[in-house]
Amino acid sequence: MDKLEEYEYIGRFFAFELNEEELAEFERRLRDDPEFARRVELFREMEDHVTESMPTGATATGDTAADQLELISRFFYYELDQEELADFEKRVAEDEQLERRMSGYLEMETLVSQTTHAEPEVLEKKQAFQRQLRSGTSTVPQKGKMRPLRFLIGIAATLLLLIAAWLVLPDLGGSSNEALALEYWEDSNKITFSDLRSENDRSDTETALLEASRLFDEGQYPEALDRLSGIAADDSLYVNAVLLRAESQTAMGRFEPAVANYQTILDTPGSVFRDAALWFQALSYLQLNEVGSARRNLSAIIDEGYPLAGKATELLEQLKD
Amino acid sequence: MPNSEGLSKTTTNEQFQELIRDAKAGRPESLNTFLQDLYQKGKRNLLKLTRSETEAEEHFSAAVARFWVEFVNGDRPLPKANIEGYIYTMARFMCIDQHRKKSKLRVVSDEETLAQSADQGPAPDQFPEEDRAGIKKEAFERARVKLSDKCQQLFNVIIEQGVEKSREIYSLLGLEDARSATVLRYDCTRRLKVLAALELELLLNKRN
Repeated sequence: MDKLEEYEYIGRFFAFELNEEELAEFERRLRDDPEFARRVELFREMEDHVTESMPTGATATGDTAADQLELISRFFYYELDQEELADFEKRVAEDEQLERRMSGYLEMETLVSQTTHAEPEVLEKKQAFQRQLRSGTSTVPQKGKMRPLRFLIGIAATLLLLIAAWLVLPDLGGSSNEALALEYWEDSNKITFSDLRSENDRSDTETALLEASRLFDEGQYPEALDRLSGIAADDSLYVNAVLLRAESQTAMGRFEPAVANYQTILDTPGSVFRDAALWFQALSYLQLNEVGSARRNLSAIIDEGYPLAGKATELLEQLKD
Repeated sequence: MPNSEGLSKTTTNEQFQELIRDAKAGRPESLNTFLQDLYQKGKRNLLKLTRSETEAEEHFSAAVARFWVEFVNGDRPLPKANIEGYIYTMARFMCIDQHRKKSKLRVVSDEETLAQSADQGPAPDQFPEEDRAGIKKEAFERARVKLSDKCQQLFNVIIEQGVEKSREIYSLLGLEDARSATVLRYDCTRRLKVLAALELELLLNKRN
């Protein structure tokens, strides 16, 4: 028996293919022949290596890497039933390899989504829901602690001032679409910013945003616009500034520049303000009598499943061409 | 740590289905409120893993977004599972994963580096971030060529030609309609994720 035949023989042993006679011979050689025993050991070592190196090789639990990744994929697509889910959780807790595969899957999932521009709605919904959680759970500022941006929603004083501002705008009662836009604007939660980092840690941009938010809340829209003008386009808070600028312009009845600013937000990939920009831009479009564009925005809000979808549907139904 | 069944089940899938129906009909408030309450219910356990409210919110929101896209935007029936527990489990796994990745990115002292080099080489997956990005890119490209011809054509159109809208893709690929392009894109993306993860594992194993 040459070396190759001998390894094939050993392979047959591990594949449970030896008959009784061959098995007895195998055991005898393993006991009496040190060279043979060493080859068996080498075979096992290489077998482990091959299994580890080949993702398609069988794992300890009997399924292949491909099987496990399919299972992971089904988990993340909400396809497992209760029994499968319980089994999956148990296996992840016990099997480090499965846990590592899940990690690799999540890493590659991110790359695939970014490269193929797939599933943008997942990212959008994630950001929208995150904002909801923050607005619902973090209304109390924590003194001195670094906090993310806070969204102050539904401040009665702001609304009253905004209503007052809109009342002095010219020709508001022109068409029913414009009146509707005003009604919905009054009823909308505006986005302003507060509770950025503690005072000592604030950057110049954060200070400018906070002051502009305060001015906006007080109905001092030209002053708010002034305060925002120094924020550079490459600043990480630029989009926040653009949103506040657009809101101030809308409140002042300057709908054309407001539409352009909302568009800047919509053109920013992954912006957390996409839903707000779609909504307020739609209301500005209505003021400009661009009903088709307003409809398009409202449909996007509904299609993309934003929390404003209910209001968007309601408004769509009332619009007149 | 509670698992998918450990989180007390208060909502039946029928009730869930009703919330989804409302959301589909343009009234998503109840479902959103329900999901926010669910976060509050499991928040403490997520915070134990992340020690950061922002991260806990991020992972829970990611699980909710996947749920939303599948069942509110999409038309799939709910799986026969405790959905509350499922969402929570997904968020928990993502928290654990991030914790694991973060701990791998810790600064390694010189002593640790020396001890490691005296050992049999880097532990699995431990590559500098730049190397890892390169490996991931390679895994992605390897996976792409292993897809079916149709999927390869689809991603060529999306990546090389920058065409993204289903109504444009379908005519370029000679599909029946825009919906077919959406379905193809969903299936191919899903397949690509699995193949890419498989290729990543193979490349990491080779380099270790």
